[in-house]
Formats: sequence, C-alpha cells, structure tokens
Amino acid sequence: MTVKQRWFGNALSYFLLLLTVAFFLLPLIWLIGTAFKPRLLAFSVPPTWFFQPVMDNFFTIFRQMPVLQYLRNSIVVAVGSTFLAVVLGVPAGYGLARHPGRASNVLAFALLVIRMVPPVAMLLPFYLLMRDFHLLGTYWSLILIDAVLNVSFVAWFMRGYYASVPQDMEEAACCDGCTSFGAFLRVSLPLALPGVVTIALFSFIASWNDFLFAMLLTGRNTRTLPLGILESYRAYEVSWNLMAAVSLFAVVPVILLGFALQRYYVSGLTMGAVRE
Amino acid sequence: MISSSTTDLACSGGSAPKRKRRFRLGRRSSLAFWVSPALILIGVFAIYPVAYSVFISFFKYKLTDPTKSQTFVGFGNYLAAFADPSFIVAVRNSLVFVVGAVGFELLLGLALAVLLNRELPGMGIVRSLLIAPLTLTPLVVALVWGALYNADFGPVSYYLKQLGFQLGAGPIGEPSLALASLVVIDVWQWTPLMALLLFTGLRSQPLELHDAAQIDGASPWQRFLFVSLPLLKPTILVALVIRTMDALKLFDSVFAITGGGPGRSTEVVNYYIFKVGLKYFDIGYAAAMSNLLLIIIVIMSALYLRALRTSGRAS
Amino acid sequence: MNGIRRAAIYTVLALCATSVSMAFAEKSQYAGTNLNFVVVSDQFSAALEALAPVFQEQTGINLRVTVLGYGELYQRAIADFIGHTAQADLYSTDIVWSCQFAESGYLTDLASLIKRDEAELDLDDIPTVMWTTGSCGEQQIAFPLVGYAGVLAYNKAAFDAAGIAVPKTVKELAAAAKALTKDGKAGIVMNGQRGTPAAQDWMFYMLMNGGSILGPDGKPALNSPANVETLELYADLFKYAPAGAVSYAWGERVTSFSEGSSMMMVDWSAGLDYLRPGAVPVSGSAAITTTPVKEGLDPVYPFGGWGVGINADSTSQGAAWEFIKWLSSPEVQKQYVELGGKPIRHSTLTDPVLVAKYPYLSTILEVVEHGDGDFRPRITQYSQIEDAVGLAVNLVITGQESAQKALDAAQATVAPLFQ
Repeated sequence: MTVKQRWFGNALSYFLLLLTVAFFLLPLIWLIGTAFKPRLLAFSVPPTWFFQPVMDNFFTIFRQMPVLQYLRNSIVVAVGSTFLAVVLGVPAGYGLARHPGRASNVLAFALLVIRMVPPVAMLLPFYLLMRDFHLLGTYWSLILIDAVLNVSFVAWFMRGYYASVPQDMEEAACCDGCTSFGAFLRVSLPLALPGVVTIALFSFIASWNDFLFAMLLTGRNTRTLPLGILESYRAYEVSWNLMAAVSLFAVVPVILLGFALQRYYVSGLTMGAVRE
Repeated sequence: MISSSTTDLACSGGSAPKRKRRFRLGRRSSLAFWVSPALILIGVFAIYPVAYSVFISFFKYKLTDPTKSQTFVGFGNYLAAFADPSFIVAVRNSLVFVVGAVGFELLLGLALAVLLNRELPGMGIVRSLLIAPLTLTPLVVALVWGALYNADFGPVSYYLKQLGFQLGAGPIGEPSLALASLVVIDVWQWTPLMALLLFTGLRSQPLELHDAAQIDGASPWQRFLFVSLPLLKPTILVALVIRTMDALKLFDSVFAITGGGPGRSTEVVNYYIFKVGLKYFDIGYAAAMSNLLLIIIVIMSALYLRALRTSGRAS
Repeated sequence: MNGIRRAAIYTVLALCATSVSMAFAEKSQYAGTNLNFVVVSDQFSAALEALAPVFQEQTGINLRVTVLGYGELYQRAIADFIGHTAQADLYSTDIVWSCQFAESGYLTDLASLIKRDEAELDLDDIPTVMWTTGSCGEQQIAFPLVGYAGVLAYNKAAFDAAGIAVPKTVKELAAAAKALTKDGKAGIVMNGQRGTPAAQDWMFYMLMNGGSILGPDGKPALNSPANVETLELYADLFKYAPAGAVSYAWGERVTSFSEGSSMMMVDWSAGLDYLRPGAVPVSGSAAITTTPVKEGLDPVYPFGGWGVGINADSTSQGAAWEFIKWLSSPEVQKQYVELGGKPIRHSTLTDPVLVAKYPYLSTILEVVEHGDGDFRPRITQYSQIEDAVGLAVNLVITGQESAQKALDAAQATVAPLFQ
C-alpha cells in the first residue's frame, strides 16, 4: 500500500469513526443536556444546544419522589441478584464445561431456555409464589427473580468460557490433593476472572434495568429507579426534562461501571462467546 | 479436550508417586455437585411459574372474572391464537423486527468491528465510548428516542425535515415508518454489543492464517471473506442467538412509545401477551401465547446452536 | 356571691373543661394505625402527599401515600386484590373501573357507612354526578376523591386576534379549528395514539356529538350512525392538528397546547397548568370553557374523576373510613384545592375566596351540574371496549380503514363479551 493510500485509508477510517461516535453518543448527550434544561427550553423548536444549565429539574424530582431511595434500592437489588447469580452460576458453568457430554449439553440448553421465557408468563405465578413465601414488597422477591433469570445465562456463558480454559493448570495445582472444589477456587476461578467480571457486569445491567418485574414485585420501600423514571414521565404532561433528570441517576452509574471494567470484558467476551 | 492422562504425567513425577491420586479433576465431584445449587434456585423459583404457565394455558381463566371460573379447554387457547388476527399480525411484526434489527446489527457490527480492528491511535477511547448505549436502561432509551422522534418537537424529526425528508405524521406516526423506527432504536442500542463481540473475535484470530493468505496473493477483501469470516462464524452465531432471543422479546419501546400503533404496525407478540395478561388478565390465553412465542425462540436458537456445533467440529 | 356571678363562673369552668376534653378527644380512636394509600400520579396526588402529615397531626393515624402511574396502579391493584395480599388499605380508583371492582368484590361497599354517617358528611353538598366516581347500582365502592370536568381549553389571545368567537357547537369547533390553522400553528390537538389515548379523546367528541358507546338496551353499539359520523369528524379534525398528533398521548397533546403550537384542545380539568401564570409558554393566553354541544341538544358535558376505595382485605377499615370522611370535609376540601386537588363539594366550588383565586372553578361547576359520568360506560368490559375503540380510531385517523369498517370491526370484537 502506498503512503498516499494509507493516509487516505486512515482519514476515511477516522471520518467513519467520527460518524459512528456521533450517532451513538448524540442521543445520550441530548439526554444529559435535557436534564439541565429549564422547562421552557425543553421543547423548543429548533432544538437548543447551547444554553445556561440549571438545576431546577433535580430540585423538582427530589421534591416529587425519593430519588436517592430508588437509587439505593436499585443498587441493593442489582448487587444482590448478581451476587447470587454469580455464586451459583459460575460453578455450574464450570461443572458443565468439565463434564462434557449429552447431559451437559441438554442442561446447558435447558438453562438457556429459562432465559427465553417471555417475562409476562412468569410474572403472575411468581407474584403468587412470593405471596406464599411472604416475600412480597421485600427486596428478595425482585432479587430472586433476577437471580433466576441471570444464573442461567451466567452458567451458559461460563460453560463456553471454561471450555477454552486449559485444564492442566488446575490439575497441576492439585497434585498435593486438594479437593476439586479447592482447585476450582484457587486456580480456575482466578483464571476465569475476565469472564466472571464480564458476565457479572451483564447480569448487573440486566437487573438494574428491569422494570416489568419491578412494577409488580416491589413494595413502597423497595421501588427501583426505572419505576421512578416512569413516575416522572407523568401521563398528563410529558416532562422530558424531569424524565431526563431521573434517568441520569439510572444511566450514569452503569456507564461509569462499564468504563471502569472495560479492561475485563473485552477479553472476557473473547473467551466466553467464541466457544460454545 | 485435554485427556486426563496428562494428569498422571503431571502429578506422578513429584511428591508421592505411590499415593493413589485423590481424584480426577472434576470427576469426584460429579456434574450434579456443581450444578445443583443453581438448579435448586431455578427449580424452586422458576419451575413453578413456568409449569403453571403451561398448565393454565389449557384453561380458560380470567383473573378478573367475578366467578373465578377455570374451564378446561385443552388446546383451545392455542387454536384461538392461530385464529386471532392480532396474534398473527403480532408474530409477523416480531419476525420482521428481528430480521431487520438483528440483520442490521450484524452488518453494522461487522463493519464497525473491522474499523475498530485497525490499529489507529484513539481506537481504545472509541471502544470505551461505544459501551455507553449497551448499559442504558432500555426504557430510558425508548423514552429518549420517543422524544427525539416526536414529529413536532423532536430533534430527529426536525433535522430530517430540514434535510428535505417528508415525514408525514412522523417516524412513529406513519404506519409505514413506525416499525422501522423501532428497529433503528434497537440497532442504536445493541450494535455496539455485536461490534464488540465481533471485534474480540477478529482480534483472537491467529495471524498466521492471515499472513499465509496474504503471501498467497489474496487481496484484503478476499482475506476478509475467506479467512476472517469463516473464523468468525462461531462468534457470529453466538451473537445471533443472544440478540435473536432478546429481540423476539421486544417490549419496552412498544410500551413506552407506540402502544402497538399506528394501527397494528408495531404490536409485537410480547406486547400483545402483556396486554392480554396484565390488562385483561386473561391469563389462560396469555400463557398459551407465551408458550407459542417460547417455542419459536427455542426453535430459532436451537437451529443457531446446531449450526454452531457443526461449524465447530468442521473447523 | 350572688347567683349570676356563680352561674357565670360555673359556665366558664364548664367551657374550660369541655375545651380541654375536646383537645384530648381530637385524636381518633384509631390513632397509631398505619394506612397505605396508593394514588394515581395525577396532579391531585401532590395535594394528598401534602395533606398526609396534617391528617396525622389531627388524628394520630399515619397515612402513607404512594404515587403510581395509571397502568402500574391498575396492575398493582388487581394483583393485590386477586392475591389477597392487602398491600394497600386505600386505592384511588378510576371512574370507569367502578362496576368491574364492584362485581368482583375488591373494595368494601361504603353505602351503609355513608348512610350511617350522613349527618357528618352533608351529602346534599356533593353534586349527584360526583357519586359516579365509585357507584355501581346500589353499591358505592369508592367515595368521590376528585371530580374532573371535560373542558375546552383554548388560546384566547389567538381567538381574539383572529376575531373568532369561542365555539359553542361542534360545527363551530370544526370551523374554528380550520380558521386557526395557519402560520405554522395547528387549530386543535387531540390524542391519536392507539389504545386508551385515542379512545378517551374520541369519546369526548362522541359525547359532544350526541353519540354513545352503549345502545338503549345496554349492549354496545359502537358502529351506530352517530358514532361513525363522529369518527369521521374526528379524523377530519386531524387535518387541523399537528402532524404528529396521530401518535400523541395526553402528554404530547398537553405539551402542544402549552407550547402554543395548538390553539384548542378538549382536556380534563385534572391539571390546568396552562392556567397557572408563568408555568408554561401559553400561560396568560389560555382559558377554558365548557365543551361544545351538538346543535339542538341539551347541554351535557363530560365528567370523569377518581374515587377512593377501601381494600376489602384491609384490616384497618375503620381508620380508612375516617380518612375518607376527613378528606371530604368542607374545611379540608378548601386546603385540598389550594394544594392542587380538585374539589368534590358544591360549597368548595362556590367558595368566594377560592373562586376569586381560581376563576376556572365556575366553569367546572357548570360542567358538574350538567355532567355525564357514564358516557364512558363504567362496566366490567370497559377495558376491552376502550381497546377496541382505540384501535378503530387509530386505524381511521392514519387512513388505514374507513370509519364504518373500523367501527364494525370494533363492534364485532366486543359483542361476544356481552352474551
């Protein structure tokens, strides 16, 4: 390739990249901007891109609903369900990978099927189940359903991941006779850390963003952020600026988490997704 | 798979050659040991709802019926679904949506992955930034795009009109545009996932194959078609499984923006099930339709996964 | 000491004793109870949240208000009722849910309580139509919580500038909409989004044009000639509405009017933010009046609203009823209005201080006096009727179907629910 061709290729690449970044980020920028717009500017035509930011929307939503409580609840539910899903799902995936065969394949697919079930089908029976367990309105009802849906994905993903992790290190580490569970803890788990972090992140995001189950299973004190967003988007006046303000609480923490962990999931995705 | 004979080799030259090996890795602890905690959780909390859903699908049961009558109708609900124009239209909409959304995500994701694969300064930052749409709450994404699409106040409609496009009633007001507009939203949110998956797939391809092809005189395009793509097949299939599963369960944008309209153009199966189950509380019928949707998803995924296994064996 | 002075001292002592014992008796017998009240996120919910501490101070009952969106409220309530989970003691109930809830026994029938306490309640002060917010036959499963008047909101400045009179008939409405659609503005704005938004807005126009959902036999008559005509008229009005109106729900409709992009809309008196000075761009130019009526018909105006019902499974029935009585008392109703609530009493709607402050109350009074709370049938099948109508309206306004065929199809969908 000539120097000129290379230069042209690079310029084209950067141009395309710029378009890409613009496409994927502009709506997000709009959201952030709108959160700081006064009511009178929220609907202006043509759209206002440069304005004096104000904090009014935040004052209003804090008056209207317990935003920080929703944030806390979202954190509790997401962390709780992710923890449960990972603690139960990673060993399951490991076991499935280390015992290849028909049973393993069938189980893995069955686990995946759980995640394919339309949520509405599970919603009402699960509600009644939680009633019988006296867990309605507690964090547990939401944590349990999210954990159940995520554990299957965690197991399926980690199965793929472990399939491509060589076993010799595990075996070598245990010549001194540790139990297989010990081997798992001391060797396999650290080896799979990128994969675990990746799938934990995805589980966290899935749980954080759910609103269908949250609608029915949360009580007065356990309402999560997506419900707050719906609340701010009141029927009688579309408050884009209020909705944007509440949404920031739902959106910013996860984006930051994503940035912080990117080192892990880029390699985590490599191993986990590629092999079945 | 690495055979267990290496265990013998690795461990026998060492501390206690006479001592009987305590275990074969993973063998003493059976498959059941590893999966039972997860299965118990699922068994207790998921099997009942799913089983109930299957069970109740054979009954006519409206929760809000004062008489609370449950009439056994066998496959009646399933047959009713096939005769229900709303359900048929919903299935069609769902399939069109999935093909459109996943198709575009794959193509754009591939293009993006190739772009990101170029070693240029700043790529890392771009990759980080692309994470953002993935992490957003789909409900928020739907509300944001709903606002952007607003025919009278939305920036997207405004700029499209400035560019000369005739939008009529707007991207979500025109029956011919509405489903496509929802596809755009899905593509916006999930292409980065595809791009990332495919990018890591590209990255992990052994360079020797590419070099060999280059030595043989293949052009970059040929190299891409005949080396990169085949190697990417497993990744593509896994990505397709994940995205198809989720795209068939589309709900948030229909709920938040269109309500199934204009007309029936954006009513997808999952939304119709929601309406029947949680608005009319006709749970027998809703359960039947859920099971039909589940069957569709399972079949499609099984096909992908079978293709994945055969390709794995072939390579 | 002579007899008169003795009597005076005794009287003063007696008065002191009475007032002291009254101070103690102010706390209710249910003091210490916790009440959960789930309310829809309409504007009046803010008033309830503000009044909860006042209620607690006066009675010692701890009222906890939870505000939910319409759809979520409905799902939660139903799930609560059928699961008998008693998650809330009090629910705000939409007027159209009255018979559905009554027939299923979800809420306690208040009729006997109302009879028992009628002296306290001053029933004559509550306009008859208010009771439709929770009545079904002989039962009263919800007490009036807010009464909404369907009104015509219009941009007075635009009307004055164009020299058009405020429309009083449906024909005048269409003409005004046409005349005011110019210079980038729309004459009128309506909901077009498929489902409840389109159905509810269209039903306003159905009432204005003398049509009805149910026929004289109580069975649905969705495709009656009057309804077909109204649907054609409604679709026609979209020519004078903003381009995106075919997918609008209440939020966008109100926004369009509030931004001054549309000159008229038929709306519930639930918020009336555009009448509050400085709230939105159109404040100061906006006004409301009664909805148009068809020529030759007696005035009848849309009435809607919410009732407050006691969960049949609640274990705090007494405390809940006490709250309802407290909220509906004339003194509290005045505070309620000040805080954003919409009153239920005649005396509140005519209170001089309030009327001076909120002149629109007189329009609401007029609507209430001629209000029809049943133009949206408050029957069990309402939800499905609304859905069928919502689809039909949306199909017609997007040009996919003719009014006759769309309503015929809707009629075919709902007829089986009534055999």
